[in-house]
Amino acid sequence: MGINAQTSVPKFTIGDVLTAANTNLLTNAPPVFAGTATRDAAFGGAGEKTLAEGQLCYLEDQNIVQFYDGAAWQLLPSGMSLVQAETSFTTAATFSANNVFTSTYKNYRIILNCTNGAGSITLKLRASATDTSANYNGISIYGTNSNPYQSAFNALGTDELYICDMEAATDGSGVGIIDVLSPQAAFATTTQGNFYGSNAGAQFWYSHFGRQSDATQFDGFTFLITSTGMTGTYTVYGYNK
Amino acid sequence: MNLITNVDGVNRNMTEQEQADYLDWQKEKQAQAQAQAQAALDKSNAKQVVLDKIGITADEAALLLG
Repeated sequence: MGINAQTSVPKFTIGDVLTAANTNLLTNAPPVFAGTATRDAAFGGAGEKTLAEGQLCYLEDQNIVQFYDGAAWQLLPSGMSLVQAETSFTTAATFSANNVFTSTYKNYRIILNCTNGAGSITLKLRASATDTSANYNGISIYGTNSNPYQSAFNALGTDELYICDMEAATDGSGVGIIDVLSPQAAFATTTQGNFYGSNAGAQFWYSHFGRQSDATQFDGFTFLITSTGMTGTYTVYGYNK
Repeated sequence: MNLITNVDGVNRNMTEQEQADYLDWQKEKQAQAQAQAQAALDKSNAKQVVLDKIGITADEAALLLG
């Protein structure tokens, strides 16, 4: 429990002496609790406020702010929620994330920040810790400063989605975003994103559109690279419904 | 040489089977990438042959087709 955590939300009556401790509690805006159990116990008791619509709180164990809508505690409205905090991988030929796609959100965003690696980066969807290696179709529209309009359909076959090339450390390649749409639905999953890449000394900018046509309810993904292992991080967000 | 995989943020050496599968995949993908690069080169060369025949540059052809 942190130094600002409290176990009740006091209700003052006329004539009460306002102590320093009381004042310190009041400067918690919103009140801070160790978790949902202490939050729920902090209202409605003797000398405590009655829980009512509009009440805010902060939960230390989840690092979130909630509001009470009159019936239940809710997350503050936001466009996206963090599903998988920034996760590191080092000289990895492949890296996988399991159980990041759930029924909580319909659509997801993956942010990839490679700092080293070389080769072609590809993406596979997975379910129950097993990669799916069939029925992908995708197009990459990409360009360089000297040849800005190029495209490739199923650039590396239909057993995965081609994302981009990267070839060196710290040149910023292998960095981008990819949205995964409806991975948990029992129909095709689509993907789209933008990446910066490089190949043979040339800078490439990629727009990616992909589809996996199975009715599989995917719960994770794997990135692979064809040559030198990747070092970097990924983060996963869910789009709030 | 041990190849590395990372699952849910944990870096580890690939198992023998994972490594064998990866190396098969890598060989196939590198061949595909090479074939794709060759196809692009062939296309570019064929384009140049046509440009040479009609006696204009690629930029002039782009102007005509744009």
